[in-house]
Amino acid sequence: MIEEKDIPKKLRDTKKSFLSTLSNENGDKGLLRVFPKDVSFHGQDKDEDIIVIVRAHWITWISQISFSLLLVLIPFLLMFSFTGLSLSLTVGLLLLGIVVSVTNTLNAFFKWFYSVNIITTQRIIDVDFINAFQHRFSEAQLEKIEDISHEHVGFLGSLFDVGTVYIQTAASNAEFEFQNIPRPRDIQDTLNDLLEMKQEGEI
Amino acid sequence: MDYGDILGTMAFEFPDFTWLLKVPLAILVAGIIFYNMMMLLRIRILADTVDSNENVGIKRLAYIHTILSIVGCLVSLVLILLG
Repeated sequence: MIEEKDIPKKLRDTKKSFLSTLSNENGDKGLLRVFPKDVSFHGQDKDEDIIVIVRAHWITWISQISFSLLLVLIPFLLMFSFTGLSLSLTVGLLLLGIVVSVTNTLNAFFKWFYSVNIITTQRIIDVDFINAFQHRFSEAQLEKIEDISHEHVGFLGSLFDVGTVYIQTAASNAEFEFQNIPRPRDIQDTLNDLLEMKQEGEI
Repeated sequence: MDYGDILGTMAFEFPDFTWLLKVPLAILVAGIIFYNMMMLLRIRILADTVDSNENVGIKRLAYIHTILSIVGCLVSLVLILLG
């Protein structure tokens, strides 16, 4: 349960279910943060409160980490393939392999950290860190949301309770995807409750 | 004429093709340095976009990684070119 002091005043009197389903007291800490006090974003209004900030689950890292381990092994494979390599060339290749591997791992970490999904009392925000040359910041007002759905796919999705939430907005072809996030049904419930509150003029 | 003797004394010297390995590696090194610098710039933008307490540590990590990767890349490039 969330402590009452952490809940913004305008949400304290509501009887919506999302306040009881959302919680910071589980293994998703860092992935899903409810009413974070130390987070703000560009363009945030004074009367706008962040309800949830959610990132992709760490299991999405597994492929990247495996690839990094493979990258470290490539110089060793080269060493065994070309037996006549000099010592300096061998050390150079090993060092380069380590640099590439660490870069790939940190690249994955930075992409994970800055690819965030934010739900506030006014809007939803989807920040996608695509690569070093490109990122996308999408936002939609809550009242523009038309349809929300989520899906769990695969063994890992079921095991770790990870899924993708799809949010269809009024704009043509504008669909937000909160990809591979923990507890997707709680996020869907939160968005549905916020939509109702918005329609009732509570927020 | 015994051709077997001639073949036995002939020395085959294969040309050194390691320079073929060095050219793409040098391009790779330049690419890694450029990518890491672009990554640092992107992180600075995103740290301003979504601000949190963790940003300080993340930015520090990005700076350290960029510096170390540049040093690592240059050292490895020198070693590869010398090898």
